[in-house]
Amino acid sequence: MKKQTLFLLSILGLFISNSISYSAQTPITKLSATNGEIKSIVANGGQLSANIDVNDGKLSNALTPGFLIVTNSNSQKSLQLTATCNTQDGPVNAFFFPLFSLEYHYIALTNSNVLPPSHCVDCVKKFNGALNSDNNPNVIAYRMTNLEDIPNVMDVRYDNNFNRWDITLLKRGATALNVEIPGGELPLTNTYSTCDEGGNYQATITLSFI
Amino acid sequence: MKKLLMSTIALSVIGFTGFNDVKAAPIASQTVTAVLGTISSVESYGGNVSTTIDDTGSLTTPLDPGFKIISNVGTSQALTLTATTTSSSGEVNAFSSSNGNVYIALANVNTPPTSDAVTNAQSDSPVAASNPNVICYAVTPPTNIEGQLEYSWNSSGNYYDVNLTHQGDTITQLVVPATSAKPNTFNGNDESGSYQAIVILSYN
Repeated sequence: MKKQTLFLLSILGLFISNSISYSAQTPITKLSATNGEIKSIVANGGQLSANIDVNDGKLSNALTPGFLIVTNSNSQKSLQLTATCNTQDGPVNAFFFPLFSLEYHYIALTNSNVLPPSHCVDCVKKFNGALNSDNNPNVIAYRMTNLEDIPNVMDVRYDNNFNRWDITLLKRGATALNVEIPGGELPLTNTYSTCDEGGNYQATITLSFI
Repeated sequence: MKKLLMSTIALSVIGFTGFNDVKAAPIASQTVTAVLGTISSVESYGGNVSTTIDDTGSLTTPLDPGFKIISNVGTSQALTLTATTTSSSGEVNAFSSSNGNVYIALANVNTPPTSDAVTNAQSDSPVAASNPNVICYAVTPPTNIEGQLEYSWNSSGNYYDVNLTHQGDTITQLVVPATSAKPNTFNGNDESGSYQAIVILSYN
C-alpha cells in the first residue's frame, strides 16, 4: 500500500514537473473522435406466432413482426422490406400482389415441416390460388395490412416488379416499423384446404438498408 | 493497480466493439409462424338410413349410410368400420360373417332381443325360434377407391379395417341392399318395431 502510494505520488510529480517545464509553450493537443454514420436495424418484438383454425384457415391472432430503424444521418435513406418462405427448392419470395387485388398485398407461408415445391408457391401467386386448392399443398396465403406513408418519417411504395416494399426514411433517430398480417381473416381463396398438412407455416420478413 | 487499469481498458474496448457491432447491422429479420394442427375427422354424409321391412322380411329399399373422411395427413391412416346393435344386455357387435357373407344384425329397439338371440342369428345355422327380434341382412362389400381407401374384413373381430391413403375429403358408404333377410332370422317371432343398428367409422 505504501509502495503504491509512493508510486502514484511519483507519477503525479512527473506530471507537475512536465507541466512546469512546458507551460510556456502552451501546447495544443487535439482530441479527435470520429462518429461514423449509424444505419442499424434490430428486430423489435411483435407477435410472431399464431394458430391456424383447421376449419377455415383463419389465424387466431395477428402476426406483427416489428423492427427498429436507427440512423444518425440527416440524409434520406433507402430501405427494402422483403419476405421469403422456404420450399424444397430453397427460399422464394413470399410477398405478392394478386392481379385481381386492387388494394391488398399478400404473404405466402409455407409448411416448414413438409416443404412444398416452389411451383406450389408460384401457383398461389400466379393464379391467385383461386383455380384449385389441390395445386398448392402446404402453402397458405394471407392478406397483409398495407404499409402507409408516415409524414416526415417515411415514404413507402410497393414494387410490383420485385414484390417488395421500398421504403424511404426521412428522419434520423429511431423509427419503429411494424408489419401486420391480420388475425381472424380467411386465407386467400383456395390456398387453404385439407391438402395443407399439419405443421409450422412460416415466412421470414427482412428489413434492410440498401 | 496496473492490472486493474489494463482490465478496465480491455473491457472498454470489448464493450465498445460489441456496442458498435450491434448498432452497425443494417439488416434484421423476423420469422412469423402459424401453427396448423392435424385434421383427422369423420362426418356422416347422407345416404338412406331408413326403410321398411315387407312381410317377407325383405328391405324395401337399400340402406346406404355415407361417411366423409377428412384428413390433412399425407401418410396412410388406419380407420375401423364397426356396427353395434342393441340387446337386452347392452350393445353388441352387429357385424358377423358366415358362409362367405358379411351380415349386419338389426335388433328391435322397442323390444330388444337377448344377446343370445343376436348370437344365434349371426351363426352359420340360425334357428328361427331362437332369435326373436333380430333380423340379419347381407351387406355389400364396401367399395375400395384406388389410391384412397381400402377395406379388409377382420374375421377375428368382425369389423372392417380401413386403410386411408388420401389427403383431403374421401367419401365412402356401407350398402345394405334391398334383399331378403338371412335365412331363419326373419319369422313370426319378430315383433313389430324399429329394427336398428349403428354403423360407426372411426380413426383408430
